[in-house]
Amino acid sequence: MREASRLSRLAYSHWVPYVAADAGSLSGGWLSGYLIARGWSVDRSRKLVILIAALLMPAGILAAFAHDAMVALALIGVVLFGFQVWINNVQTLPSDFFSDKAVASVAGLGGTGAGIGSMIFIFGTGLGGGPLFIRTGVSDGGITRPHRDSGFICTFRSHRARIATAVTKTNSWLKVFILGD
Amino acid sequence: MITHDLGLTNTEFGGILTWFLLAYTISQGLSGKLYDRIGTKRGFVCSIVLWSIAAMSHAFARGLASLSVFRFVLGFGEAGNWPGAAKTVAEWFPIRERAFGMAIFNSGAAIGSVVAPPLIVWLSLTYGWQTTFLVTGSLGFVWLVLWLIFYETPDRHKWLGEGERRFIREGQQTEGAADALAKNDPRPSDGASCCVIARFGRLSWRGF
Repeated sequence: MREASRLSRLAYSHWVPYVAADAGSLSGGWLSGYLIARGWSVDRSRKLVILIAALLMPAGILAAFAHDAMVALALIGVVLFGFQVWINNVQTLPSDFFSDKAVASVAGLGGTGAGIGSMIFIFGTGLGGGPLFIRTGVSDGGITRPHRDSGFICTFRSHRARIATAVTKTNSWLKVFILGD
Repeated sequence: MITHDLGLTNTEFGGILTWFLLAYTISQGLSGKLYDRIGTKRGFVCSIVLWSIAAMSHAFARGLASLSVFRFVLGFGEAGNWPGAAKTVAEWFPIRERAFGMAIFNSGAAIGSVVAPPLIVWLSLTYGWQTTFLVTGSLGFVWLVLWLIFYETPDRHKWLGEGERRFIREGQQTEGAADALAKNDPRPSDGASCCVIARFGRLSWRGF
């Protein structure tokens, strides 16, 4: 029965950050297209949007120190919003640079890079890796998806570390907040 | 539930997830090559068949070893989805609209993540985790049927008018050409909408 209530709580609290993620996804995809339509070069448009996104994501650092669940949640929203703005434009880069015939290979290489980055992150910070992975990937119903989104540049992994920590924390607060546990 | 039934410790379960990540990492690069060689239509068929079979096999997991194998295969199939999406979007969208095409794909993942967990929780509490894996895994085959019926590359798609085909093709070379064609709103591609459905199904097992 404890298992059942744990699962039910998960079902109530998991969705909030995804709304922000979705908004980021759509607006990020729209913005670079809008800039290109206004006469900007593809290069400049993608770079600007990626820069804006990169500036938003460090909000996760603040979230890790927030004392109020709602504040933390808002900051996580900002992080996920920024991340989705970022990833949509990064995932478009292979097709900007390469012909149709090579896009999947390049995107796949990028994904493999992201996977290696995730593994380094997990084993590097987890001290045994497993427990941390469980916390971020499973306890949160996969909110942080540490291994999912293919990225191009491994240095951005550090953002994900912050997201992971912060989301884990926020999510447990959320459960407390919503269910008075 | 699954860890309890199979008598796994959290650390063992973490190890299983690491197998998934490893397969995922290897498969992205390999699947990308595959998609470029055999095309998006057949490429997605490979990934989804692998993914669905692996997901359904979870129902028959007996312990650490079998679960690790199933998750490895699952990761291998699932990863193909990213290079596949990038290529599908590149085929169907002019440069100017590609990031938005990618956004449609990715928001499918977000929607799936919102909608799926409550359904998964309900399914697993009502029918058990084995049935849940069978149901969510078989959704992949539903997706596959839709994909086979509706998806084609733009140069072959029967529903595509000549004007739009030209719009896509010219938009793929330089942004100047896309701008010269003052057409503002081509409908989202079938490929992208299929991808959204795919993401939904794909994410459904994450409730565990």
